[in-house]
Amino acid sequence: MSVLASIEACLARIERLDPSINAFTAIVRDRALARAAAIDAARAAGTAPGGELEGVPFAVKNLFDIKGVVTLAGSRIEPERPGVVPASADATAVARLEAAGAILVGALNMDEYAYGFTTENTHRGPTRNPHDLTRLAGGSSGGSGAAVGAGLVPLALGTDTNGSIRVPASLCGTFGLRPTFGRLGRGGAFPFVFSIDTIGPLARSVRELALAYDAMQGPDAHDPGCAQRAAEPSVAALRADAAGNLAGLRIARLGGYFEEMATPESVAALDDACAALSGLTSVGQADWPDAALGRAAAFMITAAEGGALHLDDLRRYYDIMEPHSRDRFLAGALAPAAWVHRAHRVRRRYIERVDTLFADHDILLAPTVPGVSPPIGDDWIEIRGRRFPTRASLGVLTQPVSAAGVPVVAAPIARKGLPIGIQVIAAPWCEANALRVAMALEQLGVARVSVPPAFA
Amino acid sequence: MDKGLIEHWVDAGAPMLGLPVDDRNRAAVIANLEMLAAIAAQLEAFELAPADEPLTVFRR
Repeated sequence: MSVLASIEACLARIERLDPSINAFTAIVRDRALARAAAIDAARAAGTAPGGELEGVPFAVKNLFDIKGVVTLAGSRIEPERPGVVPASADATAVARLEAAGAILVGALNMDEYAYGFTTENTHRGPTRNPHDLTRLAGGSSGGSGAAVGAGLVPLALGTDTNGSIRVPASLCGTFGLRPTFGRLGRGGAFPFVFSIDTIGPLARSVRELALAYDAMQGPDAHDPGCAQRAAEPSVAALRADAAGNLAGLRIARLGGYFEEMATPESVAALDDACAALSGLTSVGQADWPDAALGRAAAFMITAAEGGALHLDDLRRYYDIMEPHSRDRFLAGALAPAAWVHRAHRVRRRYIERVDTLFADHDILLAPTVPGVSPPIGDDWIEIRGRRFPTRASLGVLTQPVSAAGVPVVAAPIARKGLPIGIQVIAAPWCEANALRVAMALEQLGVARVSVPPAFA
Repeated sequence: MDKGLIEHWVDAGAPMLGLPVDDRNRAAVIANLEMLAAIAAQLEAFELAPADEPLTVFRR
């Protein structure tokens, strides 16, 4: 099949199936078809560079700049802002994926300004979980999770501040990668919390996740938070069999907070993963230090940085801001500086404590989400008999991990019923180790993406 | 923290920052700030030395 025919089929599938999940907010049809035709022509002429991403369609959370398209960041404000103009260039990540041959097909729904875990976007409507249309896709990269989970695209980009890749990946049953803070350039991606934001891929397989991650690596002149660090390709570290992928890695599961804040079904998914790995290697037990404290620091920093970033929007455009998050932004803007400064100081000590864990462990395993996806509109979730507000608490297990800035792969665990994922956590800058273990789980048949029958 | 103090902070601070807090959202903003106050107390309880700097560079 030509690349053009493949992209036409992808676009037709999106047109037919997306209305039921509401993942896409824009389609860049002409651009995608032109790129596909160009790749076909280059192949015919023998000048196509090749590579596994060549001709692969992908879509991005609508906070990534797409040349010629107004960047929404999930809001009504951005398209209605006086003097608004379309993006003049692609975001760094978009440009790098296209340089590797992938083809952008559209932009995806999200929580306004990335402040949420549900993608119940009042302006564009909620994104629905392809595995149960009455339930949440998760957020804030909910369109990304739903689009990959429904098989509309094999690859999507999201951002993860407190769990916004890992939560939708887990609820929609896809793989997702939050890299080390500073690893991937955020140039051209609308910010939320400068000191915690990361970008990363969601994909239907670990290999595609790794390919996309590798394609996006390297310093980014448009992101002052991006490390001046050469690319460290992860695909070369992946092995053809599970034993090879696990070789030499010291693995442990996290107890304590990470089990107390998870429902039995989420713990059962982790049990399945650990049982499978135990057939090939030993899986120890470890305790993440001060998880609740790390979450507290991240919660405070998020509220305050987000509130400060949108201070002028709150003054001018409060009435058209997302009702689910605008009062949280307001409260964050009113947080005393002393609280926020202390959160940064505590976070520094917290990171030092977390880093000591990696002296004895290469990989730590934990649940990603408290349970399966809740129904859209439910304001409360229950965890072990206690009620928590849904929109702030779906990230209760992801937030302590991202507060430490370490890399994590979310892996969907094969089971009956709705999807649920686990976190495969590695030491800073060791994304390849997390990808190797996620691939081992995939090779063992424990982790996999299952497109629901209605979308097959 | 006493809820009255938080209410006072919101009523005084919002106009100072030019933020629109009024009858339609005052209760929600106060509730959210109460949550942040509880978190601040959690962070206060963690002992820090004067030399414990914040992350001066947010790069890992």
